[in-house]
Amino acid sequence: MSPPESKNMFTAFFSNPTVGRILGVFLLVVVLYTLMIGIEENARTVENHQNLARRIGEWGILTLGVGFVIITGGIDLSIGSVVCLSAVSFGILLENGANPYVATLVVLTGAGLIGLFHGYLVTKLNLQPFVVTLCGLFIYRGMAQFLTLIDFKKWMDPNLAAGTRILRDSSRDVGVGGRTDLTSFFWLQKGEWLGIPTPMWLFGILALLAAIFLHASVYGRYLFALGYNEQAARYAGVNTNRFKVIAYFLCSLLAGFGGILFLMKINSASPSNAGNWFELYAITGAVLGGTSLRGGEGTVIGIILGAAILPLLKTLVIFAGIPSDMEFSAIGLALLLGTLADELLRRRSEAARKGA
Amino acid sequence: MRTNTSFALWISLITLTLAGCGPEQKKQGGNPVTVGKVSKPKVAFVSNNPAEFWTICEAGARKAAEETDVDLQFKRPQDGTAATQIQIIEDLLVNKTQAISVSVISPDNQIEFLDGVAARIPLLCVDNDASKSKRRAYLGTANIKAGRSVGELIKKALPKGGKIALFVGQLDPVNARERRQGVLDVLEGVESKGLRISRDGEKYGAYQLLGTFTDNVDKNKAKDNAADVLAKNQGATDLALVGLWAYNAPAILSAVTDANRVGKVKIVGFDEDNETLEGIKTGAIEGTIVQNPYEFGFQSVKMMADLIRKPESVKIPEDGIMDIPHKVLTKENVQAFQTELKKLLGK
Repeated sequence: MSPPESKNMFTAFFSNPTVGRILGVFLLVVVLYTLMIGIEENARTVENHQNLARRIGEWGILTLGVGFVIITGGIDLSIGSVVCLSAVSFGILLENGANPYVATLVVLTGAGLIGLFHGYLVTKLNLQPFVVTLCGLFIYRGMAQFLTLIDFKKWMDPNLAAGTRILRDSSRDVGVGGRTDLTSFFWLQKGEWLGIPTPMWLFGILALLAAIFLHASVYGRYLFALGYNEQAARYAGVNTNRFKVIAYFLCSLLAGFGGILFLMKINSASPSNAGNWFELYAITGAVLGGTSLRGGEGTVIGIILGAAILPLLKTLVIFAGIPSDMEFSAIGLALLLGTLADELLRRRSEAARKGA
Repeated sequence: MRTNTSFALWISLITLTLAGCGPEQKKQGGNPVTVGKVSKPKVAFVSNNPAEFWTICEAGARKAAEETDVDLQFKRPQDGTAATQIQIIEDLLVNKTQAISVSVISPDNQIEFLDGVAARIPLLCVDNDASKSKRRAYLGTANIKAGRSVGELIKKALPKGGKIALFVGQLDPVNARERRQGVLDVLEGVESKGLRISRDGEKYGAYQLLGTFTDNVDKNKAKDNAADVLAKNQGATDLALVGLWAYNAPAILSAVTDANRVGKVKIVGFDEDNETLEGIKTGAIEGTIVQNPYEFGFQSVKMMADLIRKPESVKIPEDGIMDIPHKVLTKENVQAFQTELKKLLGK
């Protein structure tokens, strides 16, 4: 974290662990990208780059969110379920004729409240983030399933006879395939501007705001300080609790937004599997991007690169013709090796720094 | 910067190794863009999940790919989600695949996407149809008919009527709803006229439908569901548990075995999971309906090859539905079927 004060700026720059980490993930992205376009001529097409950009944008938004929490030394395991609950609620609202802007507002408010709730439990009640958000992982998915049980059309019917059942027998997938008036709103997910898909633009804007917040504002410094050493930050007069709550709030808010994008991507959401594993993908992206799980370390540029790795790997798997049954192993192995290499790199640059 | 170089080398080496273990492409003569070779037409099959059912289908698809000399990619979305299925199809399109067969996960909501695919290359639906999309044809089991055969097996097992419970992964896919409808139509003794509202808890002829229990393709939950129904109906001698998806009957059998009620509770299954077949042999399961996944794969790849090479020769009925007939398996014919299946899978 220390600014390079050495006379030899160049050495200092490259032996800085943060820079080392970014270089590591940057190289990984370059290698994966080179492999992808090397293996298959068709991977060089504009269409493939647009597909990738859209997916990176979607993942990136979630990765950015969890990045905040990890920087404070916490963790959020509920992201996938928040994505699911948001996608399902957004879908139900649209199914029942809601205006998409109003629905977005409602869903984002809900997601934000979830984040505040996590922050409250972690700071005021001093519960472990791992436990709080793990419980959230179950609760929000269950809530999503329950929401799909309710027959809102029947419930809202003014002529509803007393005692009529408004619960369905089993949870169902929500879907808005029938509504034709949503095209202009769905541009947020399906559109493009200057050839670049909108989710990538959204991610770009959010990343820029995050970068200003984290790296150029005093609040960002507080966030890093509290992640690095909470007690020291508190003694220095930082309201650590407030900044922790902000981190959880932003994480869930972005997950809620991710859920809205998710629904728009496939026009439907299944409460049982929408957003499954997303929290782990997001955490992996952030960690590969140099965000330390011990807290206090991380950069927005690293998170952007980290978020690109999984979409690249998944596409590579198809272009390389790797059988579906080996997909998970291939992805896991590549990630493990990336982390290993990153760790080795970090140790060496740390040794170089100490030696200097 | 020595560290960075060795790091990059490491990653490239390993990723290359991983990329190299794609036997699909090696088997088929390598990269189709290789200079000097005439490239084969590229076709793809995308299933809806990684179940063994698709292994049999893949055997048929590979056989047809060999016979018609096309380059086949057989993909199974590992998590069974529509999002993953769409991603796979997008990548296949980029990869200049010339025809795709899909078992559609969420038919009503993927129409726009599927129409986009169909506008570019021939698209077939297999096993699970999106009838409102612009797909060229649907190849699969006529699920209402298959459901009726399940109903007949229930009637044979409980001729005097009784209680039944249906188990299925999800009720969203059309095949699940159609099979359920077929079962209830037969029990009620009416002709099948498509899907209609048939509620849980009501009586269909002499049979009371206790419920339709979904497990979201989680075999553990499927077993728990069956165990719950058994616990609620202790001592019932007129109970039939019916599994509508491949893994349901084994899950039911496992719950019935745990409850020590094998033989006392009737089980009817669907598809040819090995445990289901063994269960039929021992008499624990009354019977099962088998689709013909081998033919699903074989016929769809053959049709895709024809649609690319000589589209005028392909004859498709007006509604696009190509029924691939199902078969009823009971104790009498299960052994013969199993022998044939092993031969197909090359076991």
